[in-house]
Amino acid sequence: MERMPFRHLLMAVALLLLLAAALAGIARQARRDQAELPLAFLTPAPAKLSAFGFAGALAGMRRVAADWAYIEMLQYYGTGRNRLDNSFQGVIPLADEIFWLDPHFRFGILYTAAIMGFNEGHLAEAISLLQRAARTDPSYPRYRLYLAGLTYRKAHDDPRALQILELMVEEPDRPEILVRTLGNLYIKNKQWPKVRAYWMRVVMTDKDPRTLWEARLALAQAAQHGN
Amino acid sequence: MRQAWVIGINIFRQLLRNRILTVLAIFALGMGGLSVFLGELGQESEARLGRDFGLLGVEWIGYITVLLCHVVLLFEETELKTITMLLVKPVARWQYLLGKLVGSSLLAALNVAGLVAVLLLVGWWRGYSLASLPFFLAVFFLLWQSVVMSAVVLLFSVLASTVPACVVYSTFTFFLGHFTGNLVEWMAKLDGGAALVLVKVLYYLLPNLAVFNLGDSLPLGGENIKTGIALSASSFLWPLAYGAIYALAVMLLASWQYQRKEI
Repeated sequence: MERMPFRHLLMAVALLLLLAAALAGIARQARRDQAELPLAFLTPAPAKLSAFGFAGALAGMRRVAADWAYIEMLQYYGTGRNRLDNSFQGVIPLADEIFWLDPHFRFGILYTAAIMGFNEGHLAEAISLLQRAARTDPSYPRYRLYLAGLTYRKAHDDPRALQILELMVEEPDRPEILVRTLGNLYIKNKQWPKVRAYWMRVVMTDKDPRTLWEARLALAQAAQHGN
Repeated sequence: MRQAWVIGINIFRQLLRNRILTVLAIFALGMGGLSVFLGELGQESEARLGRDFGLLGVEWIGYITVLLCHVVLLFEETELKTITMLLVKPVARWQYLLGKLVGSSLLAALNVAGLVAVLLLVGWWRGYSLASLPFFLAVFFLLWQSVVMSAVVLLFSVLASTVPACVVYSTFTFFLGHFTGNLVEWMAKLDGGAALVLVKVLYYLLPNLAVFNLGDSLPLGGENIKTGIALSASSFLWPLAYGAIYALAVMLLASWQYQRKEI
């Protein structure tokens, strides 16, 4: 090392850096062909993007940024006064952000589509989100199932929408909010025998505290309506 | 080589005696706690959030460990002059630098192992499992990134000679190393012109840390599996080779500069 002249050292370092750059290029290409997430900015960014989402995409931390946007969405949806914001309208840009950051965040996409479509009446946005998700991830059948349910809902074909929802809640890892949505639709349609049977089953099988709380309220309501 | 290994082991012991581990253990517990808190906020996606934020913690603790190691060693060398005791012995300076790289990498491995143990325990407590081959592979590549960053911090500790300068240059490089890959694409899309050239120069000079981030490209299990994908060996071998060659280039430069330095 002590006898190496500066220009020789510089040449050696430059050559090594060039080799390293070539290797990084090959590594990126190998990963690009097989990666779960496409590189940021290959797909058009959503119109509204949070600072954290933008920084996360630039820094190659898209999963973490998508998780953060998902938490933000849950916090927004969990704040009751946001209902005044045109039925939680703020969920729509957050859903777009989650999908752009991680198009394979299946649970997050299904959850967001379910609350937008079944609970808050933003049917067009929910259907658009699911269509984009189904195009990106065509091997996942649940997107199409949810799409069918929302399409029937949009066409005001409630019996068929209910049939699809009944299938959806049977899925082992469905969003918990669907269980409550289906039960509340039975109540809305005044199908009291179904209300009793459904919520009794939920009480026996479900563990989610909020769902159990709603189940007790629903059963009390059903009892008031006799048989 | 054997001398470098012996120096590395002794530096590792010296760092342990400096109680760096206490600070880092508190940081690791904090990261573990943060992943529990964020996982709880994520409700039904707790497993995914715990894993993603856990991997982020692994990356940060790896970097902070190697940074702290070199900063502490730089302080001892410049202020306490402990280096003179070693360099009067028949040890080449490049062997000493290599020893520092080995010692700091060993400590990073120990800390990462500790954090992974905390994450696995948290998962077990909360009712989900993180123990899978893709997760451990992602952790291994983040550790490999820490080794590359250790070489970079070492170069800055030789060039800068003061602790704050070393910290600033290294941290700047760490963040830019994550950004450059995507910045190049973004600038190309914006038709960046001169800015694109500058970004490309940075892209080739700075370490490309995105290639070590398997967390964003490997199917990690849970609900985010893209079916039918089996990553080939090239996805793993090229980043390893890249890291080794880049670290070698940086170490060569650091050794040459350290040889010229008056101590």
